[in-house]
Amino acid sequence: MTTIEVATDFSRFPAGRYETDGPFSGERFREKLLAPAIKAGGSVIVKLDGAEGYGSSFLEEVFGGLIRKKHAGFDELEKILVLSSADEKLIEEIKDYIEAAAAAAKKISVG
Amino acid sequence: MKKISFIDRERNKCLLKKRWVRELRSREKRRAQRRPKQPLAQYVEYRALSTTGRERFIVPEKFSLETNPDAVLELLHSIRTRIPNIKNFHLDFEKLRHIGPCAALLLVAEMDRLRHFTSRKTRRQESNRKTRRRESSRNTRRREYFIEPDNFDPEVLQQLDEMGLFDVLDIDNPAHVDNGNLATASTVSFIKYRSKRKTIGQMANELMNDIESLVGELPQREKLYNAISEAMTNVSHHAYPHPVESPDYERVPLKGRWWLSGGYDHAAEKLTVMFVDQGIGIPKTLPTNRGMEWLKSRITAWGIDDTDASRIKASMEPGKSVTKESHRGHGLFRDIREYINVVEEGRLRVVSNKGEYRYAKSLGQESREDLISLSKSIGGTLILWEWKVSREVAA
Repeated sequence: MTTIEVATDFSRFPAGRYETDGPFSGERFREKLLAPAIKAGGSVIVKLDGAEGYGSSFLEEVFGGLIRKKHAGFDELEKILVLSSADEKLIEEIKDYIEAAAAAAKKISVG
Repeated sequence: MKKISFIDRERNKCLLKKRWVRELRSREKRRAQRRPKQPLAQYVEYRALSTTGRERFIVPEKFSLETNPDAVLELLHSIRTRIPNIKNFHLDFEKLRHIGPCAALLLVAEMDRLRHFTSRKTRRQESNRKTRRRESSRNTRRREYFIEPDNFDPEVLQQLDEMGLFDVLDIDNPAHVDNGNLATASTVSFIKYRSKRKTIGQMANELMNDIESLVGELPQREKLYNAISEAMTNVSHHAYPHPVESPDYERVPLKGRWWLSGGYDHAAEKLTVMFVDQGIGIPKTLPTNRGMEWLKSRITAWGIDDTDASRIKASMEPGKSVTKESHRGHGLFRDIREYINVVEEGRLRVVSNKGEYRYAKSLGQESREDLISLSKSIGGTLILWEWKVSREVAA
């Protein structure tokens, strides 16, 4: 089991989508921290509290990007990814991004 | 291979930079020459020769995007179009009695851009004529712009100092502002501007800390952080899509750059946060990102004309991207407008090119949208969040 605390392991100020956007972008968090943890196996707990906030671009690139970049499938993420936050709406938002990315990936593979 | 010494390397770097600045200056001049000439009457108020022969740009008495938008846009347009063609100019603030925070930030952004592209030196115009002439003769090869801080209204002087205009113009300790001891209590406090090219969440955090030092704890702070960071991300992705010499820009831009600031009106208990870029504007990027067909379908459904303002309204709607990246493009309506939905009484203004979109919301009431067409282009995009701070929150 791996636990990632965004505010302490990555940054209190996550912002931006791609690495070219800035130093603490969603792409960077996904590629440097989250994807390796998923690849290592076992469940992954992502603790979201403590950061200043999460823009939609950051969240979508991190979690939707897991599906798009084929780091994990939707079913696998449902089993191993655990999101921890005092803000329930934040967790709902992230789940929406994962579902939308999975639906888009399914559409591409069928089409 | 011959080894280049450190001094030669530094000299070469300097020469390359000077060549690049010269190249950008000549591009801007060529671009300005291609534009149609304005009738004299339109900018005669701002174009008067001072006694020293410099072209003078007179800042009007009320310089506010809220109460006097035409004057603000006219002056900024004159600065953008005239300065590439002239050697020295004079920014005259003598008439200015009221300046709004948005107008101040737009002026700071314009001056910041000029500072990067020219080797202009700002000088405080000394009252001593002999000193002025001596300094003039020493600096005959430099282009110069002048301001006269001694002639400023004291409240305006303090506000511009708070905003950071004098830092941009490289002027130290303007008159009447001495080590934070205020000559006069200002009704509106401005917050020092911040400017960068990337999405830097920490800068949003610093601005919010400055705001909290004025008014106390911010409501829903994380949502404001999301709104500002999304605005920065939008600039990275959409505001400057073309090379700097493209005619889509109002002037040669500082590619990728944005400016961020805020203000607090003590009397009205109203906080303002402003975010500015000098890109090609939402009305020009939207058809590329969302497709002309989608845009036309939305505008037709609303029964309104296709203007810059209606395109900004369309950008606030969720919609699919024409590229395969359907996961992108939600930041505007999701994050940027969201903060106004969570405060007690707030307003969002998005001004881009010649259009303005206003969104106002009070708790327990329906939201309201307004579309306004402007006389001139703002030359980029301005996002403004404005909300009332309750007495319990204010320190």
